[in-house]
Amino acid sequence: MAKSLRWRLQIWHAAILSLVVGGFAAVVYFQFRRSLLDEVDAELLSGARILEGALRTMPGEILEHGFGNPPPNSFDNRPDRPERSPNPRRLPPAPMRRPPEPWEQALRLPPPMIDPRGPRDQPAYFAVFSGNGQLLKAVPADFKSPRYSTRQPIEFRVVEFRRELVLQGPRGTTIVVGKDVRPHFDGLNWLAVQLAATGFCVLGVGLIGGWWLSGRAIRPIQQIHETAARIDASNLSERIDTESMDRELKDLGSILNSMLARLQQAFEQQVRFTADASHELRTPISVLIAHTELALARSRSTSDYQATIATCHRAGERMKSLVEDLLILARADAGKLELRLLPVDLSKIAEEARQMLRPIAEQRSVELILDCLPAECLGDADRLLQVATNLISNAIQYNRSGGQVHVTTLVSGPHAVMQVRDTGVGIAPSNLPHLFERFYRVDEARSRDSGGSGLGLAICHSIVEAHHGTITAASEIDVGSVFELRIPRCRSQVFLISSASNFGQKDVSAV
Amino acid sequence: MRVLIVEDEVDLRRALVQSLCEAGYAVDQSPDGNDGLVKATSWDYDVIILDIMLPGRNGWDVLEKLRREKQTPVLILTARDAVPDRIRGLDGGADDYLVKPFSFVELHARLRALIRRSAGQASSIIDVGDIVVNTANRTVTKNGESVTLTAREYALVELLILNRGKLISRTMIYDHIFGEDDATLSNLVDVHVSNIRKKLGAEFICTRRGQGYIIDG
Repeated sequence: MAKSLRWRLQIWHAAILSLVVGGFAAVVYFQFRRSLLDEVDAELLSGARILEGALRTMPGEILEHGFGNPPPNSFDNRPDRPERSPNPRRLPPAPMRRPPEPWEQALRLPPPMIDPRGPRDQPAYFAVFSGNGQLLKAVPADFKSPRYSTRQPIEFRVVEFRRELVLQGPRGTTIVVGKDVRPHFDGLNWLAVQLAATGFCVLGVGLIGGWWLSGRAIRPIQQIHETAARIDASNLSERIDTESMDRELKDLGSILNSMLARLQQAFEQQVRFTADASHELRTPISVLIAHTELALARSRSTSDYQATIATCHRAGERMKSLVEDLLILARADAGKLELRLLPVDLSKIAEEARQMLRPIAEQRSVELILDCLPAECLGDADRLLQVATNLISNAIQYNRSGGQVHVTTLVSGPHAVMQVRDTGVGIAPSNLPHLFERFYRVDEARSRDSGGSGLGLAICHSIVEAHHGTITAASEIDVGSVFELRIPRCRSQVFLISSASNFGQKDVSAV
Repeated sequence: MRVLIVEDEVDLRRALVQSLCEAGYAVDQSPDGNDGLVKATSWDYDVIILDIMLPGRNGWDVLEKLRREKQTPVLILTARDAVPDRIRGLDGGADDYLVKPFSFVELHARLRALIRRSAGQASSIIDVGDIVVNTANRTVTKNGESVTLTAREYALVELLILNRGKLISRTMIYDHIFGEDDATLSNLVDVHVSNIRKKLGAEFICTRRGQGYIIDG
């Protein structure tokens, strides 16, 4: 499940959606809470300012030292309030029944901060402390509080369910105005519940929608998967239908299709190669089996047996050379064609090939002409000789009687070049591109006496490629063909390095 | 029975020719497609063994051209073992398909079956009166007793008995039991017929004077 793309999408989707919904709810909640508190704070502040104004009109002694004997009807201080620091310089008690001072009135009346919104609202309370910490006045009278102090001129704080404002009043007094905010916060809690419920609903709908969407999104992938699963070695020609797909998946489908095409091509090539190879092996094997079966069918004369053995030997030789050819190609394919790279002169190789092929040339009345300039390159002399003899013997075999084979070697730019030109029947243009393919025969069933296995040019191609060279063919019907091979010259350092790195340990002895 | 072998591989062709000659067939051979087609269309062979990968003209082509003219049974003998090739061969008009490497025993059995069926004979054992000819092991018995025939004599008996009730001309006999390399004498058929009559009874083969021979069913 964890490996499922759909589940992973869903989990990510759930995480992101939860974050968004949760974040949104939190923002709403705290904004609302903030605005509630701002309202309360404004109320508290206006109350505090009134108190502050009243305190400014109060005699300084009272503010500094507290009321020595506060008038019973103007102060709600509890009688049992402990006298903390009795001051020796306290004023004598005020005379009774005097009219209340304006500040006394201000303190007597609770500040006008009863919220007009209704009875739900708890009234505010306040307390005033003198500079030395004595409680001067508190409403309601049973207000209990430790000593308030603040270093800031105005400080808001939350104590239990109360919002309090602590204000530094004149002459070191401290004004505390507070309000129970529970009624306000009831609304806030209700909002929180609503937000949570809505949030979970949105989350649920979002997740279901996400699951559906992700299912839709991966359906084409599943289609690709189903098609791809159907395709195996037996039906490589099948392709993924990209017509109805969206662009991104269409790209993927096209890539898969082109990959399949390459795979099919490689596979077919492989099948054809195996079929050709087995076909080539079958012929000598049938000869072998046919002759031995015949020899064993009844008793024969010694000469018959000798003939049979000679035939079997020939068939064996043919299989051997075929297997060797296949082995060279297999090694070349695996990049393991071992080359003993030494400086070699193509003109000397051409000369050597001529020595080897002269009898065949004479037998076929073909003139072998060498026109060779020194052309030194870095190569494996044995392999290059194999290429040269192959090209020249082809040129002899497919030549007309009395024709010529020209072999030229020269240096051209960074390459040592060998050209083999014949005056034979030529090769049709349609056959030229396939010339270096394995088992390709210009005449499919050309007599095998002259045609060999059909691997000769493929081997030449592999050998030349291993030398980082090129081999090309050009031809004109009834005029002749030219085969040209180009091998990089010794002084190319690039070649040295690349060949050494490509072919592992090499006998690179000189530059 | 006369067989044409179209096969370019010299060693294999030699073995085929030798094996079939030893089995009493009259054998013609052809090293390439063009020559093979000429021979196949100019003679009434009893069966043709045809390779596919041939120089000059490939086996498919030979078969196609041959089928426009003749019904001769064709056995394709090739190294191409792929199923599509077999299908192509059989659908292209071949009567049988044998893949190299092959066993001569099997090849002979298939050839016998082809020859038998092209003569409209399903069984390999044919009896005429008290004479029984077994084409599978090439034996002839009269009244349950084995009769020894030479290869030529057997070939003649087989030709006549497979075409039982049909008149076989002397030319046809020459065509079917002598190969292209056999030196034939004009009265050789008469000699063989008289020898067969000695061994199997005078009434076994009837002579239609000036026309040919017939075995009446």
